[in-house]
Amino acid sequence: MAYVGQRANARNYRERKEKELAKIKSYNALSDRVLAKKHFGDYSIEALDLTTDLLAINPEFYTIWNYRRHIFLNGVFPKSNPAEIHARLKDDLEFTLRALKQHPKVYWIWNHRRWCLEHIPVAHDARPEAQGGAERDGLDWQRQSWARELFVVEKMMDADPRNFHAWNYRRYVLASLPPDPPSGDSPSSGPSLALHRTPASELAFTTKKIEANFSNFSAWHQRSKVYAATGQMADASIRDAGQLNSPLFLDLNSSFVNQAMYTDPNDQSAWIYHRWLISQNPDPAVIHREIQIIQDLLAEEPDSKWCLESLEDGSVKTEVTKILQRLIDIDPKRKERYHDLGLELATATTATTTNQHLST
Amino acid sequence: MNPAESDYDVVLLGTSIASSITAAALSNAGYKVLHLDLNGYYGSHSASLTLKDLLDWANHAPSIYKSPYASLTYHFPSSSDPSVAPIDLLSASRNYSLSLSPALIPSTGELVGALVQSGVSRYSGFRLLQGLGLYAPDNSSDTPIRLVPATKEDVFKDKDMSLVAKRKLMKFLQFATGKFEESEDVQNQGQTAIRAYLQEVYSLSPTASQAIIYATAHSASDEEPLEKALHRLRKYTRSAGRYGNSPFLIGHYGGLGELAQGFCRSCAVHGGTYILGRPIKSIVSTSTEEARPKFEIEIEGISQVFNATSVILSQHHPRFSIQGTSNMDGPSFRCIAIVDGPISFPASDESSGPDNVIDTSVIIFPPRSLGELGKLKNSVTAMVTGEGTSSFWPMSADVIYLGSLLDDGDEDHDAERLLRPYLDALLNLPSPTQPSSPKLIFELFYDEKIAASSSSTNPLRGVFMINDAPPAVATFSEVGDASAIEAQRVFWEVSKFLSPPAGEEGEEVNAGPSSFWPPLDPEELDREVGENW
Repeated sequence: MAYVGQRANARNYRERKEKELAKIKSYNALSDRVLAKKHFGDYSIEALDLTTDLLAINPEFYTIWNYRRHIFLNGVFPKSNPAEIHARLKDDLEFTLRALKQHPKVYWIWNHRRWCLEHIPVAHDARPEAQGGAERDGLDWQRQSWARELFVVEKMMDADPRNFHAWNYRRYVLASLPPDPPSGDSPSSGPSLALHRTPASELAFTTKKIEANFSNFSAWHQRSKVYAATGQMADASIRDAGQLNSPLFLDLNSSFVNQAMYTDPNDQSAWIYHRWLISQNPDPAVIHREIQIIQDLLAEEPDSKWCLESLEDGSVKTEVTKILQRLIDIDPKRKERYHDLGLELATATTATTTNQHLST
Repeated sequence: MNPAESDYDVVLLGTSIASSITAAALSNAGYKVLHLDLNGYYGSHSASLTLKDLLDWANHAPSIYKSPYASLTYHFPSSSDPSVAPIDLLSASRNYSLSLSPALIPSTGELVGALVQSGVSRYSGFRLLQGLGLYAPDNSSDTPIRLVPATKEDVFKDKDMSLVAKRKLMKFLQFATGKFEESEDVQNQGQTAIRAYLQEVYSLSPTASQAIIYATAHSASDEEPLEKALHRLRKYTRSAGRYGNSPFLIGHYGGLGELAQGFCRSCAVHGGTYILGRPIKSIVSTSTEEARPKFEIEIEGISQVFNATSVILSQHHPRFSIQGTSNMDGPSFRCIAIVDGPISFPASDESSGPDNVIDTSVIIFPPRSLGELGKLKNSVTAMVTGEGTSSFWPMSADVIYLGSLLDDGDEDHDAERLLRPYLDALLNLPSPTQPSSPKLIFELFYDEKIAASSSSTNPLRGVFMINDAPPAVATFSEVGDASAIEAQRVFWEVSKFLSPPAGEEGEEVNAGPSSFWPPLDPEELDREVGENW
């Protein structure tokens, strides 16, 4: 009657415990076998298959990934032609992909993928499927794999937009892409292999991620990377000309970052990005405007630590002292830091006044 | 006939959603359940009906003794004779699944909890509500429907609010989704009208207040006591994000009838017996004062007599209710309409093109949003369901449900006169893709009395009352959870009554159920969901 469900569950629990114990025993046996083979330098296919089994259970066992690569380099690849090598590497990419779904943050899996991608051979010999009339540069295998890689990492980022491994890896993929195929040269089938992203599309990508969840340090960080890469920072002529349409000014002028600051003043990602923007573009008019905006926010949120810190960065000294005192009150855990900042400021001011004395 | 087979622990009268959840819970806990319904279909007054069944219902429902329905009228405006159903519509009757209880199901509410824990969620499909907007004729864009920010991300992206307005709104939302019961404001001013509170304490603009009151808390009026509104607001805001950007799920056919059927199925799977479509001849109590009660149930057309230890019946049962316990209020005004094209709802994302058609949406008309035309003092909620909810296919059509609560100030009580302007407003929404407005194929208006309070007195030993009339405020979004809460209450009362009293030592046999549903098998939870990358 009513108790049946509870008794049955107790029995289930015992059965599951027994099954677990059996699994542990067989894993240990497998692990011992593989390590023994490694010790004796066994680079056979049989050894390879055993590493597959072991890594499928425990992909964090990095020694075995290493061993697997040795087997490829010393045992399997020397006996294979480029097409076979390509097939093996593609299989490993699929294999690691399945592992990633369960363990999205394990470094060794990402590393193995990098290794596979970097070893994809260039196909020099003419193959029927590679014919197309125009000259092929032999890089299509690589392009296909890197294209898929970009797709995979972006899918992972959809699943977890704050996985910084994924963001990092994505930068690596974008930087490693083989050059786009020569124009006018269309692949025989499948999607376009022109993969390189423009700064504009990258910015749009980060905008989308930020709109989905602006508490995403990695997305803001990527924005700063895009700006840095386009060289706008170093281009003094653009700054001096006060070109307000350039992307650098856009984030400051469009209140995009202000929206995040006001929606959640406790979220540090937006504040840190804002600070970086200001530091790249210390225009007095802009600083003055931003101070006003932050002060308005402070009026709504008198206890906002980030408001006070940001104001401290750009304000006049007397104001700064008052602000530092408030910070010490609100955030007592960091009072030594605020004290230090105050000292720094005092030293700087003293040096200036000393110099002034000396020059007169 | 084996006498044991006709002995039941509990008999339930009526398969409304609340009764069905109760029946499933009792059956899952191991009790022997007999579940009866006069109608030939599941769901009772929460049922989902084909067009023909709905017309049958419409023709009979108001005339049943103590019927909660009144001022019922229906037409076929596109037909040559609006009072007669066109043949092609009737022959497609089974393509329509029209609900007497359209529902928005909050993702973190009690109904979802019951669906998941009982496993009934596997019997049905659900969609996320795609659009929720406020009807605001003074809206800045080219449609009077204003989208209402529900999450932090929505607030961030909103193009119309100033920075300071966003901050004020976020502060209020953070308060409302936290432990507001412990705040001084709620303890001292819990009964203040919510509008007054929003404007005085949080300085929200009238626009922002309106959005919060009507489209986030789903209040009927801005005078609603703060504390009640905050409870709903917190539940809905926390629900956003569980399955997607909207707080609400919608059942496969838009209503609760399918779900009632699912719970009945669960009850049957665990041994419950169902008899539909037969009137009860009599229920007689045959026990003495000291012994356990025994009720003998005779059903028309069935010779076997059934015995039950307890009876659960609706507080508002037309025949068997107990004097003085039926506590109705209301009425609420309702409309079911079928139109031959989509009602245009603005997409929230500019990047999603015209292909991203929103087919399930809710549009809320705050009081006075229709000016002179709209006489209702309370807000009106419109739920529009399209092909996605599988209500019908292959034609392109939408079903519109309207609901509003009576206010003391309303003079007119005629559902059609009161709701017609709102239906017209929906049909006249500007659409970028359609050249002409959709046409009405069918319209049905009625008013329905709603529940005032649960009766907790059981004048007769062994008889339990279940309050399964729709809730007073925020009907569409609360009817599901109110039913689940009521089911849980009745479940515990009945199981306490049925289990042997405490004091019997030892055996697990007499422990009785320890939770509302038996614990889920953990292996079931490990099922992998495949994904195509």
